[in-house]
Amino acid sequence: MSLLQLIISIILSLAVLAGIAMMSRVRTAVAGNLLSAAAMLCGVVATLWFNGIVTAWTIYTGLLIGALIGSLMASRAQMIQMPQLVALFNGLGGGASALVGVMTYMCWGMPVGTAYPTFVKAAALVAIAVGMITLVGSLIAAGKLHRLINQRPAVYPKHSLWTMGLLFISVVLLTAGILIDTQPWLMVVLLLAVSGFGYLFSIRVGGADMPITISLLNSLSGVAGAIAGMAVGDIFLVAVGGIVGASGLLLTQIMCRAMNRSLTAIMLGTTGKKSAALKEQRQQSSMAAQREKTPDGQPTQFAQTYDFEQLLEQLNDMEVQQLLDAINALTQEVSALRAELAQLKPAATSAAPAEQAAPVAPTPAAILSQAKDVIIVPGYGMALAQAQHVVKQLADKLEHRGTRVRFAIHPVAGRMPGHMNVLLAEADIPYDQLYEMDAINDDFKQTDAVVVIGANDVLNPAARNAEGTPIYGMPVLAVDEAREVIVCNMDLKPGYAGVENPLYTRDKGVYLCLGDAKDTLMNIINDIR
Amino acid sequence: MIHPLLLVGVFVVCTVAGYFIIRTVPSLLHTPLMSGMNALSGVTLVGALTATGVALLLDQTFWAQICGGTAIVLATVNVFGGFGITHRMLRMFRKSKKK
Repeated sequence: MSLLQLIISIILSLAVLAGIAMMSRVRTAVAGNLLSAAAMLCGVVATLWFNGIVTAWTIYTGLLIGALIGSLMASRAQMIQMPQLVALFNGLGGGASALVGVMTYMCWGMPVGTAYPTFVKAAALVAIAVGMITLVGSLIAAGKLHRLINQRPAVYPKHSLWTMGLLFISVVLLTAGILIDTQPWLMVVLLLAVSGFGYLFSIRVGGADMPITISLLNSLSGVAGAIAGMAVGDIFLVAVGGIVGASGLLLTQIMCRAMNRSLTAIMLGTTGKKSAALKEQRQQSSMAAQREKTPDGQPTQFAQTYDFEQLLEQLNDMEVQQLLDAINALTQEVSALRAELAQLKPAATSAAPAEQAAPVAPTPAAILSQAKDVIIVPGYGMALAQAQHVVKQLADKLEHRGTRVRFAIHPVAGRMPGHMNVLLAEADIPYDQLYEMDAINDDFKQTDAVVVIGANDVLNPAARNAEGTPIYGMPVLAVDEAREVIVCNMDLKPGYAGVENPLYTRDKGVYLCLGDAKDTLMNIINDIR
Repeated sequence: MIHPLLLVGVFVVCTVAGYFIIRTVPSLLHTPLMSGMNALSGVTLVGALTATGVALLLDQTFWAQICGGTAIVLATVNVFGGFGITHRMLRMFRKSKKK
């Protein structure tokens, strides 16, 4: 590698970094993206030039085919398909890294014997492993998001055992592969083992954890690229891969914090459907069941696989009971608070008429007609119903009447980070009306009305006090503090976390408009006068 | 061939740099950011090109060329699709007109 190539690589890497930095602001983001793309193009040209492969004409065919497919998919896809598309592309990148790993491991495309055979071999094998996990994991995630695969987390018998076993085998094969000479069979077995691991890892992830998984896989594909870069000895590739890996990890971390989940728990599948606490309960109940049947007591692992259906039923009963208790406690708390509030300000200024008017004939439309300050809370249901354009109509109508309309966006609403922002942007809603949770949470108390559209878990007050449920401890939007809440959800079924929402059973100030959000919103819009 | 330690060093430096730059991105832009990162991860195209180009010029086995060709196609789809989608997404964001 010449000095010139080194310098060019560094400049291009800096350009990529600058491009990413520009993506922190909406105004500069488009230019930042173009800058990154341009740096990539220069990187490709530089690679062709410095490796003296400009004349290898057949590679252009590959480039052309890929460019065509990629551009077509990018321009044809609908915005609702964004999460699965990102996952799919991500997987392809991982797959490419794995293939580069395969090639370098087999010493294909290596002109002269490399000076560091062990390092290259190690890098190649790690690239294969990480790349294949990314490929298989992303394909499963994309399949789930595209509803080709059941979205519910799938758990096989002895799932964790298999996952851990495959991981162990992969590590052993990797170590062995580094120590001994190139063996095609070893590589094939490693390929299969890591693919199996990737499959088991991602098939267990359910809807709510999907954004985190995609972000993690995104990070992995960057790492895979960086390691493939080490294998072929390309600084630009190593640098950009490292940047992507770090950013993906940070994004994953941010999301984990927003959901109050630990990354390890998600990777090990302990939050797949139930939280760690519930899993403990499952173990306890299974142990209890075991004690009933065999008094001498057998190992717990055996009990866990034993009569799974029945155990699940028991568990559901327990869960329901627990939730009912929680709901009761909450209802009491709320009524106590309400009484307190009534005593505190018996003749509150503007709140009083609204409160008194409420019992007469409150319709959602009437409430919105009177409201001066409305907060809209969108969730994944809005994406499913494709209701963002109707939401825009509602916002326009309200604003036209002089009402202040804001949107409260929970960090993990939807199926990928910032999903709601993109959908609302698609509907032409200005981004300065969108507020992050921390910025708006204190305003729910003062607002006149809240409109919930297809959101559930992100505003479930049970997250604050229903210990042992999957969402316990997750910061939620304080919708329950608002005086009037209009819920436009498909049904009252619990969200992905599977926890009932006590807000729906609140006796005052909650209006349920069930059904397709598009229709219910249209009705409300027509009734606003 | 570059010294392995140099490569590892570059990896570490870029990881740290990326970490600090991305911290400033607001959650409003997380989806485009992720999609852009996704496009960037297609940079493995560079590796695929290097390996395949050399394999082609040295007239190596048929399998090497198949592998390389597939890698190039996959990576290019990743790059073009990723940047294309990010661009589309970013262009949708706008500020309210009245202000």
